[in-house]
Amino acid sequence: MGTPFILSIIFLLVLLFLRVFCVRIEATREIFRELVIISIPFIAGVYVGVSGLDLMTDALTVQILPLLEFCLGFQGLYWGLFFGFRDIRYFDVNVKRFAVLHFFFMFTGILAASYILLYLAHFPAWEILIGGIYLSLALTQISSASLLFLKKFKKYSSSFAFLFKTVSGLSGLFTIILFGILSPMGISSSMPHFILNLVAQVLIALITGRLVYMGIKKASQGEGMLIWLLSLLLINSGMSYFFGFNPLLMNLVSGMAISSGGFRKQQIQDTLKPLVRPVILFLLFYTGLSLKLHPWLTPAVVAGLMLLRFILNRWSFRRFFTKQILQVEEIRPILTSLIPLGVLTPAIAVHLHLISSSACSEIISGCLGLAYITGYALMILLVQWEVRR
Amino acid sequence: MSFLIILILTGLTVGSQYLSRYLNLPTDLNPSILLGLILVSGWVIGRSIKNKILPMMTGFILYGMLVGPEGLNLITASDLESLEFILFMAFMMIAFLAGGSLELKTYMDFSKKIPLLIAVHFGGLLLGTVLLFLILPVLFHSCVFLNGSHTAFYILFTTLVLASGSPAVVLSVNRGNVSPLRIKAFLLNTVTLAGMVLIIPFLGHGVLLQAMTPKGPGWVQTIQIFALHFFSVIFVSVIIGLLLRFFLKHFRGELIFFLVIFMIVLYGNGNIYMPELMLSFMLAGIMVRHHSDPGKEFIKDISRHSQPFFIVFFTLTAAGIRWSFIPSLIPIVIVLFMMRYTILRFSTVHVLRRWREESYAATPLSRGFVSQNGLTLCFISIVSSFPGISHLQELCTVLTLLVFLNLLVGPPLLQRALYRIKQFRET
Repeated sequence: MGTPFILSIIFLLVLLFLRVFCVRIEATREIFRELVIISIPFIAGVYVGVSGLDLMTDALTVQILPLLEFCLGFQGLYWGLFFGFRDIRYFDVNVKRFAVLHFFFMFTGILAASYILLYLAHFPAWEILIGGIYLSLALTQISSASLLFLKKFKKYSSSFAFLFKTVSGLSGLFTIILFGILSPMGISSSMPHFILNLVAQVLIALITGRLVYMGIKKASQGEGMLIWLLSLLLINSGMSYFFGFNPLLMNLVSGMAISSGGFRKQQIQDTLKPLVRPVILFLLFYTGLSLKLHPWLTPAVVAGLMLLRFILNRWSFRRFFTKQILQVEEIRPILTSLIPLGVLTPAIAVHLHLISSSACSEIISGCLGLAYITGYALMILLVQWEVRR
Repeated sequence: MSFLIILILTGLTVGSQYLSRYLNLPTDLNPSILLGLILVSGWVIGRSIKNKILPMMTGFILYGMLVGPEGLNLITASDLESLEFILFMAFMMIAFLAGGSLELKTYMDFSKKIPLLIAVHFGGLLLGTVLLFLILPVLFHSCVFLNGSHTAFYILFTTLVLASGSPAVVLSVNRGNVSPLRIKAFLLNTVTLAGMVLIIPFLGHGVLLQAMTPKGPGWVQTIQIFALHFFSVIFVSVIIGLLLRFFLKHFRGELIFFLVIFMIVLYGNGNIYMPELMLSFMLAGIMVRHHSDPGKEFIKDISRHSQPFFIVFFTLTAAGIRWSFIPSLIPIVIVLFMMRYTILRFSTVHVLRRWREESYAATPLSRGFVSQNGLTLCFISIVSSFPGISHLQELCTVLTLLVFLNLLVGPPLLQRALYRIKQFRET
């Protein structure tokens, strides 16, 4: 019970410090609230998991597997429902170009740093390869949490918020796609098997997405839509676990197929909206369950990689975004709030734990969970600093 | 069209199993796929058969029977085991909803009648059971076992089982019906309160087991253990209720997550007993709603999105019932069913007729209490494990068959009753 106890004391002290010294304006108050909300499930998971009461027996883990697969798939489906094949075509070319450049710039930079860190931690070669990819994918996505701050900022404009949301959404889209392409590496025995796996998952996802779209069109009430979408999520996620597909990519493709149909798009998105937060919290809870700390790798990832990510993010926004889309002055407020990790981070951490139950993967997924929470704490500090400046 | 989609999805699943066999992958049906298929197929069948008499849930039950181990065996016993937690979750969520839907204060005038109605139901059923257990062994040779040394136990247990109703059925049928709110609330309050009262004798498995040992019960210890279990229920429900109220105040939308976490912790702990958990969640639901407007809104929100819980619960319950037909036991089942139906009907009419304001609803409503399911099955499974009682399995088989019959007959009767009341008010 040592780890949960120490961790909760640290969390309490940090929250207390932030509440007393940093939470002064409405924007930081909202981010602080967010921080408290995401900390509770993580700490609860640590208490219930292996480092705490150890309630999660193998039998119970098997029993909650459908719930877990559902939560993983949900992230992909929700993303897909927002980005139909048609929607992407309508986005500005410059925005799309920036999103691609930023994504690959961030991914490459963080991948190199992750490999160095994991190599120094004497992880086995395979764990370095897979762990590095998962770490980079989880840290690459731009979080839309900055909008919490922007909404309260005096220079805030809805068009900029929409633009930032689009960039953040595209970054998440690329993360899922690359995640879907790279993750079968862990189970594929040869290149043809790898390609077959990718093609099969996209094809099956397209078919199930299309079938569910036809079902949704027949369902006159919101309740029917909910049932069809839940079933799609469960069937896709179950199949992905069964065949070693990526649940996020599979559900993303299905979601895109549904969204591209265009029938009651907004209503379909609204049907799943109440589940967005509980799903993220559940994934954080699961990340906390298997938390394992490494004497120096955990602080290095949480502090070092987060700092690197922040620097790369700022640099990329200044270099690419200002050149192609907006002026430096216009994007200045957003630069300080680029530190939180994207909502896909807990899903990627949990997926790593699902495909490999080794101690190394538990350390990496624990690092990602902690980094996700730390991002919000640091954002409060930075926003406060920006406001004072 | 929807049927076609279900057929394609099922075909894909079966095909994937063949493919996995070909690729040397595990061939057990993945619980998530199974759950997805159950959800969509149950809903489509439920929607197809829904009309003025048959509610959607009859479709879920029929689908569960069709695909369960006793039917086509598409859902095997091991599949059901892998979905145990999901069933538990749906069960607890319905218990929470039933507790949260209690509206005793809103309809204070008729809430006062509920204890009387429950007492009349119980008294009538006790009397009926005593009479039947005296007559049945004389009429049917297969019922001789009822006239043994444990007759008092048989009578008490059977009465408790017969008196229990199904808040889940009432909640589910209420959703799709537009009859007066007062009537719906009256029905739900009566069934839920009766269920909560009947759970109390079943609190603490160990207490009941100890009371029934052949050496005779150690009363002091029994009372102590019973008190411990009783207080544990109150403690768990107060903790859950207070925490949920706190979470509701600060983070509204995330409350459902905390509910699920409570369920995981309680299920994982394994020491807390099913009726205790059910009562705890009902009380927690009452606490969340009591004097709290956000609580009421939250219960309404869950209720609006509760259809998947009902589909999973009724389909898996129907699939899990072992309804083996033993010809010699069929007469007892029919006699018990008729006795229960008659007593519930006449006692309800008798009480409601004296209450003039809603007397028009007395006759149709008297048919609305027939349904039985999860709660009753839970009671039966507790008692079936008692040691030292002869012929207990026969009695449990009879009662399980009775529950099965009530599960099939009850929901249409309730739907019909609510429809009749609506028609009566309109004319």
